[in-house]
Formats: sequence, C-alpha cells, structure tokens
Amino acid sequence: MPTPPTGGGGGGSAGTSLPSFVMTDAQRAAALVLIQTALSPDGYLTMAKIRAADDVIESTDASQPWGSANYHVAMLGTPSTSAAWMLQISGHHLTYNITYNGAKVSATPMFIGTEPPNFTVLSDGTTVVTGVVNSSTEYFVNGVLTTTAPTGTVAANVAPIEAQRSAVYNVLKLVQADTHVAATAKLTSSFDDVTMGISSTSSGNNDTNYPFNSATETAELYPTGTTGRGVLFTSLNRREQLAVIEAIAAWVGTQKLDISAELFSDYVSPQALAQTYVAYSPGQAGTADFAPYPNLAESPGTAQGSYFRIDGPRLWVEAVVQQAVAYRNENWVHYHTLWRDKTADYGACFSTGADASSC
Amino acid sequence: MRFFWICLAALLGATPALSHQMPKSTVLLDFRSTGVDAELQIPVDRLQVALRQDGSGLDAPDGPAMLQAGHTRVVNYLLAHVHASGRDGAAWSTQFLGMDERSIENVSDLVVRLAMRPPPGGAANVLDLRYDAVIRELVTHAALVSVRTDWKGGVRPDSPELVGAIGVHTTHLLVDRSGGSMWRGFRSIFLLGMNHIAEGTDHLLFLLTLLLPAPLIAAGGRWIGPGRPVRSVVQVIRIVTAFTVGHSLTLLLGALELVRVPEAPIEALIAVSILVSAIHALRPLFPGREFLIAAGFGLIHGLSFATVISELGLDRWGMAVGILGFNLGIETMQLVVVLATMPWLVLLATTRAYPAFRITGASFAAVAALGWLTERTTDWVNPVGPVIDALAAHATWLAATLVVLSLGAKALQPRDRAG
Repeated sequence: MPTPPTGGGGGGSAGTSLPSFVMTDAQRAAALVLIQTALSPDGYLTMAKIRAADDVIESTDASQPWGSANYHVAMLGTPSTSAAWMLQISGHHLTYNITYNGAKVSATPMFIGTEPPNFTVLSDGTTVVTGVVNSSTEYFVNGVLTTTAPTGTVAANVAPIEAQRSAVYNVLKLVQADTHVAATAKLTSSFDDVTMGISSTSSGNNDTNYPFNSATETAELYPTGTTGRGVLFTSLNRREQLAVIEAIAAWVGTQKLDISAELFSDYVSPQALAQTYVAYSPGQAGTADFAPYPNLAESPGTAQGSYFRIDGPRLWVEAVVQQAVAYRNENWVHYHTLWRDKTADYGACFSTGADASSC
Repeated sequence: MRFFWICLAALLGATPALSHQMPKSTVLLDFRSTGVDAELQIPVDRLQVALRQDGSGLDAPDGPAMLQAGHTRVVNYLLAHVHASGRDGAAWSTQFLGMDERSIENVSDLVVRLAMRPPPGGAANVLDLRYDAVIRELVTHAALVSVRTDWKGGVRPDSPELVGAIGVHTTHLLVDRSGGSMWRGFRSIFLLGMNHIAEGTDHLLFLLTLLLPAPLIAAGGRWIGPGRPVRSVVQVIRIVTAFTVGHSLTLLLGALELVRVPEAPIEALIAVSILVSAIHALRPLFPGREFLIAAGFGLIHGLSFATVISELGLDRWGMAVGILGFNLGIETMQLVVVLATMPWLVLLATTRAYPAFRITGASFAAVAALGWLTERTTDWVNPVGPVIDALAAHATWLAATLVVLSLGAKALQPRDRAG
C-alpha cells in the first residue's frame, strides 16, 4: 500500500513528488543490510540509536509520525561503479546522503540529531527518559509520565549522538576556558537551529543555492572573509586543535572507511586547517553548554541556544542545543547537528552542473 | 542529466520527516483602502533571546512584563525592525496599535498590531516590507508572511494567502496586491455565499424540510394528498421567497452591526427551526402559512449568515458589496438546490410512496435537529453532526436517489390514481 512520507514537522514538506511504498519484512531486512554496507559500524549504530530515540518521542507525543517506521531509503540514479548515483537514508532526526561517482566520494549533506539526548532501556524493553523539572525528577516510562522511579534491570543506556556531543563538549570546554580564544570564537548572533539545514526558505533554513553551479555561482550563503567566523584553527593551542580534529572525526567517521579517509584527510590537511574557523554562541545561561545528560541539570532549558560550528574551505559542521519538542512542557532540550561540504554536497561532480560522464 | 536535477529537486523537496522546527513568527497583512494593518505573532521566548542580544544591555522583560511596564522597549525594538514603504521607495508611517499575549499549544506568542500607512496620495496596494525583528539577532529564526485580508484580491481571513518567508538572508519582501479588482472581490465573496449554503447543512435541511409538505393539502389535522402541480409550485416559490426576504433582512442588519445577538442562541434557534419544520411535515401545524414560518425563521438564519460577514473585517465599501455578493451567493446555491429537488418532490408527491418518504425525511430532520439542539445547548457532543456532514458530502447521490425514487414510484403507480 502506498503511503505518503509525511514531514515530521520539518520544513513543512508534507508532500512528495516521488512514489514510495511500505517495505515487507524481507525488504526491510535487505535494506538494513544495504545501509550497514554503506556506512561505518559507528554510522550504522548511530542510525540505529537515533531511530530508537525517534520511537521514544513518538511514544511520548504521537502528534507526528516521527518514529522508526517513518524512515525512507531512496536511490537516485542507477547504482553503478563508474557513473553517479545517490543513496539517501532519511527519517525524523537523521539524513544520510551518500553519492557514489566512480572514485569521487561525497557523504553530505548529513543531518543527525536526537530527542531525547539520552534514555535507558530496561531488560524487558521498557524505555525510560529521565530528567529534572523544577528540582524534582520526572520519568517517561514507555512514553507515560511518572514521578516514581521505574524498577527493573537496566539493559542499555542510549545516547544516540554521544560521539558528536562529547567531541563538541571537549572543544568548547577548552575554548571557553581560554579567555582570549573564547572572545574571538564567540559569535554575536544567537541560534536556535542549524543554519544550513536542507530545507526550504520558509522554514528559515537556506538551501536555495544547493547544489550550486560552481562555474557561475558561489556559495554565498556561507560566511566569507576573516571576521564573524570565529577563531582560526591555527590560533588554537595544541590541545584545542586536537579536540577540533576529533570533532571533525566524529561526523566524518560515520561513513565507510574509503569515503571517510579521503574526506577526513582533505578536511584536516594543513592547507585546509589554515583556513578553518571554530565558533560558538552561548545558550540562555550564558555559556555554550554541551554537557552530558543535559536534562538532568537543575534548569535543563537554559542550555538551549548553545551553538558550535566548524567552518573550513570545504567543511561545515554545526551543532545546536534546542528546546525539547516532545518534552516541551518539561523545558528539556534536544540536539540538531549538520555536516555539509561546501564543494561536494550531493556528489562533487554534480555541483559543477556537468554531465556525470565527463567527471 | 536534466532529469537528474529534476529528480534531485523533487527528492530534496520531499525529504521526509526532517527534524522539528523551532517556533517561527507569523506576519498577517490586512490590505485596506487606506493602507495595511499588520499583525505580528512572535514567540515570546524567541523575542526574549533577541532582546537580550539587542545590545541595549537591559534584561529582556518576561511575558507579562512585555505587555506592561517594559513594553516601550519591546515596541521601540519592533518599530526599529519593521519598515514599510511603497513600490517607489517612499516610506510609510508605521504606528503601534496594541499588543497582547496568546498561547497556542503551550507556545506563547506576543501578538502585536501595527498600522502602516502610505504618504498622502500614495498607493496602498503595494507594500515593500523590510522586516528583521528577532531574525537580526536570532539568525535561525524566520517569519512567514501571509495576506489575511485583501478584498479586491479575493483574500479573506478565513483563507489567508502565504506570500513569502523572511529569513536572515531575505529580510525584504515586496507584497504587490495591485492586480486586484472589485470584480475579483465580489466573485470571491459570492463563492463564499454559495459555499456557506452548500456546507451549511442546517440551513438547507430547514428549507428542504419545510418544503417537504408543500405539495400537499391538509385537512382535519392531517396531510391528505397532493394538490395540483401549479399550486405546489406556487407554494414552493412563496416559501423560498419568504425565507430569502427574512434572512436577507437580518443579514443586512447583522453585518452592519445594527443588530447584535450572541451566536450560541442563534445556532440553537436554527436547530429549533428544523425541529418545527419536521413536526409540521409529520402533522400540519400551520398549513398554508408555511411562508410565515419561513420568513420568521429566515430572520434567525440571516443573523447566522451575518456572523460570517462581520468576521471578514471589511471596510464600508467592501461591506456593501460584500453583503450583496454573499447574499447573491446564498440565493444562487439555494435556488440550485430547490430547482434540483422540487420537481422530483412534486412528482413523488403524486404517488403512493410519498407518505412514507415524507415521514422518513421528516423523522430524519427531527433527529438531526434534536442532535444539533442538544449539542448547541449542552455541549454534549453526539454523532449527529458528523453523520449529516458525511451524508451531505454525497449530495449528488442523494439527489440522484430522489430522481430514481420519484420516477420509479411514478412508473409503478396505477394510471387511474396518477395526477
């Protein structure tokens, strides 16, 4: 039975121009094998955890179809070892766009996020989301609010984008403690989402230039020049630099080794790093707060607005702490992150507007 | 290759289940003959982020305080971030009218009303809007701009038209409404009138129930049989005309706000009017004087129509044309329904099947009326409304059934009993 992919609150893109269908169990199993083959073990595990988190918020707030059932696999073009084609895996808090074009590699735009930031799974499958509301602890047990701590054996603590969160936290802990660097790295604007989200203008995000024709257009929506972009990588001390490189690895490492190795070595080449900026914007409490288990903080909501960015000649990474949506009444938070490549989004070759065969 | 781009565009446009959006602002524009009234709906917590960043060094006032003591700062901020001009670039005046707080699904919005006026002699139908409230500081914020009222462009508050989005890279929007005309406005409101009857099943049910016994003659407190077709047609015309006169009068008075009656009792009385018609169709209560009932209850129905018009926020000239267009739309739709059903009803009335049909129809109307009446007086929600709406959605089939029924009954009727 055909089903319209409904926009889970994102971009208002409720309709679709492409046909879609609900997979059988066998098809779904085959698709997961395909996805597992396309990603690194970390990238696959990240997807599995994000889908689990999407199910957790659907159990709490069923107003949107944001669960793991509303994930889509799309292939654009014909799979080939020499010509261009793209694999897209997409759901509420995840989009992987992997373009294959012979030897050219592209894994962007890549969006990952999560709500809740972390949750617990008990051995009987019960999910528990824990957080603080007005100094007292609240639990959502299988989506139902209670103030009684659930009993049962903890089978897993799940924090879907922990690799990215902790990497950002490590950078910002060092940068914000380094007074001079912090002053340069701090942006004057405030943020409540990633800025370069692949969505229509009507949502406030900007993707109108992508993919752009590099022969006639420039990536004008990205900041240019040397001011208002944060602190240069080369102005950071050794520890800070290492933390930034680890942060880059946290996003790039979701991809298969042949793809991630090529992109990573380009992003962290000395030439690239000499033009790479690191920036942040503080949240409501006055600091950029990417601390672990944010919803267990005394006033969880004050972390919202915390923003982090890596801005290189090709690389663009954003991470932001937002107010919760499914747990809005609790004044908790959730995360959005974005990885883009200013020259290779949707496949480097396509950005030139040229025919695939000439690349 | 071209195909690829089309597919890619489609794919990107269709990217499903993107992450949830943070609250956005809304700008609603009412185009009037003298200028543009704007309503800004700004999420309070987003505005606070912007005010904190704004550089004036003051703490941002919280929700209630925004409306009271601290509001000068809010107003000054907004007036500094909202600018209107005409196509020629001549600046319009922007005046703060008032604001209040509105909460929708736990998202608290500051609702601000502004009056934007062109300089004397300037055209009021092209607005060059420069807007970066909140967006200037909170760069991921956006405002969706809609035209809510544009009489000549055929845009009414019940169906605003999205005209653009304002974000950090596009803080400028030209809203050109110069293509409108009196005719477009008239046509739009005429269609609204037709729709109101087509969808306002209670109005139609009242009229049709009242017309159910129109082809019949009453004697001794019972409906005894059909009158001559000519008499039936005259009866129908009298009833329909009386209903029209009644509701036109109160529509005019109500829309001009010369008469003000709360909506709830009117809606309840409309249900009563259907009940009275239904009882009359079962046992004659006022045979031959249906037109008086039609006129009397028409007054009630007209007050209900008037609420539709008065909610449109029309200016004086628009109101005059609006009442005319809306009423003509109502009459047209009413005429369509009467012409589509009455010939078959008159024909069916000459067959032996009619008493059963009349009793079934009247009983249905009575049940519907009681359902509506309890819902409108006691808030007891019952399935009557949804069931009727579902039936009304198949109006063509209902009409076709009536045709088949009347032709079938006529064909089976013994010759000597016919006519």
